[in-house]
Amino acid sequence: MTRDERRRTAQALRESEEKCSKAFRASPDGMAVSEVATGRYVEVNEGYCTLCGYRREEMIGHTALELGIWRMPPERERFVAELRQRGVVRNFPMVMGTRAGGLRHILLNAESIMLGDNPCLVSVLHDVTDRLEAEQALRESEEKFSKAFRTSPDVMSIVDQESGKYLEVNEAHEKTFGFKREEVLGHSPTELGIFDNPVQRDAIQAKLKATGSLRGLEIVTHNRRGESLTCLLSAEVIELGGRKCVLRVAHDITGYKRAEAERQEAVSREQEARIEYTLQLIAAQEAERKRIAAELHDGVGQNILLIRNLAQQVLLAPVPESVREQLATIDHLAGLCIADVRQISRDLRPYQLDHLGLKRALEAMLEHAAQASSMRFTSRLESVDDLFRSEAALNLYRIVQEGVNNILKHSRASRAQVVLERDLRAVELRLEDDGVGFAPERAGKAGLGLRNIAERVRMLGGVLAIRSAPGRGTCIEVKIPIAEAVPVAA
Amino acid sequence: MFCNGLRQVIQGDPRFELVGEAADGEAAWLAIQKMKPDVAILDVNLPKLTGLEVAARIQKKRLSTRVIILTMFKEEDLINRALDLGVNGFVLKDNAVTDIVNAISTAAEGGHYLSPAVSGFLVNRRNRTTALTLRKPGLEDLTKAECRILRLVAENKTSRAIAAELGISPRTVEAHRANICTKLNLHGSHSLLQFALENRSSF
Repeated sequence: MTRDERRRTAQALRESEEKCSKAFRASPDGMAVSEVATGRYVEVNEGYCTLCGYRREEMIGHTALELGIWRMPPERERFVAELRQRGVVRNFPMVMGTRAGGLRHILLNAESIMLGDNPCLVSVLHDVTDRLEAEQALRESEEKFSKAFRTSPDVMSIVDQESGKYLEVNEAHEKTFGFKREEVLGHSPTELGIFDNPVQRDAIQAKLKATGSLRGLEIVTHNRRGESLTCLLSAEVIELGGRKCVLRVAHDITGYKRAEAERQEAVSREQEARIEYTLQLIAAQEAERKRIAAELHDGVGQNILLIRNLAQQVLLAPVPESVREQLATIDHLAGLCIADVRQISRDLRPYQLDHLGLKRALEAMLEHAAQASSMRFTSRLESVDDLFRSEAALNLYRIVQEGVNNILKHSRASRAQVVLERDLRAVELRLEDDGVGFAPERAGKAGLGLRNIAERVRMLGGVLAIRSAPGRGTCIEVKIPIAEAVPVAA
Repeated sequence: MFCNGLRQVIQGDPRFELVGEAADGEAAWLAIQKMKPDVAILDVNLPKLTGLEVAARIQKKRLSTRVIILTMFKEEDLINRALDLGVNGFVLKDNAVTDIVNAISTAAEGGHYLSPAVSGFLVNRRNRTTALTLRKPGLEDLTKAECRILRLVAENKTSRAIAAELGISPRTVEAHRANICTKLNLHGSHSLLQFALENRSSF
């Protein structure tokens, strides 16, 4: 070896030692050098100090046993035995005591080296406490999950996301669908006929791919016997052993659905009965009104007229003054009676409907309403007389009458408007006022008036819309479909 | 019974001859066509056809029979309608026995007779008639459907195009156009188009 060579070797050695000592100091793992003979620390790094909580000066010259770093002497004996046997120890699990009395889980690596003539031990302590705790927590959570999975009353399954095949099912799944766990594993719900709606299946897959989860989708499934079960499906993409899986939870709502359907049916039956009853009531009421009006008009009325005319007839011939006076009184009284009959039968059934048509009847009603109140009534009525015959015309008339009565009685409006328009395929009626209005949720309680309107609209095959809010006036809109044909003007 | 009284009075007057009676509007209409009486007395409230409907048919067919309407309705709008239908008499049942003879003789001579109790309505009618003559037929007489059609007429569209746009049959469109012309007193499709263009902004 030349001098140069020697110098270069010494230099390399120095550099190497420098690197070693740098690595020793900077390592985040705890590192220590101790004498084999005494077990005393010769050197410890910063990482070691942080780990066990002692300062470097407190450690140098002392042993791990003295400092309580080895908490479990049998563990140390095993370590020493292993070291003796192989001269090196790798990943020895040790429980380390800290100055503060805590415990850390350490993986210990150790190797013998010679420092000069002194056999020493280099130890590297890797702290795995956090990792172990995390693993423990995970294990516990997995246990909890698996227990919840097994015992859940909801149907649960785990399927492979790619193939859709079952990886695991719970007891509720077995019970609900009638397939044993062994029968389903490795098959897909589609193969087993449990879920065979391809459109929904694709939608579910797309949703899971996009967002990783799905909540409360209503699906129809089938059990082994082919009976339909309605379920609310929730699903979540999870990773099991690096494999993308889907955890599916289905809540069977078949019973609930059936009860709900039955309840709905009962409600609608009751509603129909009520509507039927109301319709009958309205029809009966109208028939009765008509009968009384006719009776008054043709019976009582005609007879009173007869009395009047008879009295007048006698008066045509010369009669004594006293008889004349009495006959005049009879004539006068009969005249009063007939006026009453007229008023009553007009209230019962507007004569205009039968003789002058719907439009005139409505006009007369609105004129009357305008006279009877201080409200400003405006109206625009297009002729629809050719569209509504007898009963239909009467229904439309009553709708307007009811609406106008509501306005007069309840609205406290200053202005009201009635519009009857004839469009291409519908007749549109609108009753508007600028009065006090009412809350829409109170519409149902608004009394017989609105109900009556609603029923009559139904009888006309129309649609009713009521818009109102407290202080915002009221607008009642009725749309009645009509045939497209138009009568050609005469 | 009421008819009895009336019959007595009419038959008691040598100027009149009672040629027939009918129990309902339809029978009356048939009898009038067959017998062509000088005067027909029609109750407003008749079964099957109302008295006014019979009067309307007589007017439409231009029969020479003069009509007297007999009614217990003491209503202005009813009288107006009756007069619009060209009736010659309007007699309230209240005073039928005393009024009917005058009504018949007046009507037979082509004059007009109204029961005194309702003659006051005539003044209103004169005012109404004046107002009606002064008022020109206009857009406000059109229905919503007709306005829709007119708007498209203003775009110079054919009936077929309008029908396609509104989803109705061309015949319906034609019927609407005819009605619009009648209401606005227009003659021919050219004047309809002209009206539509001139008033484009107002419908």
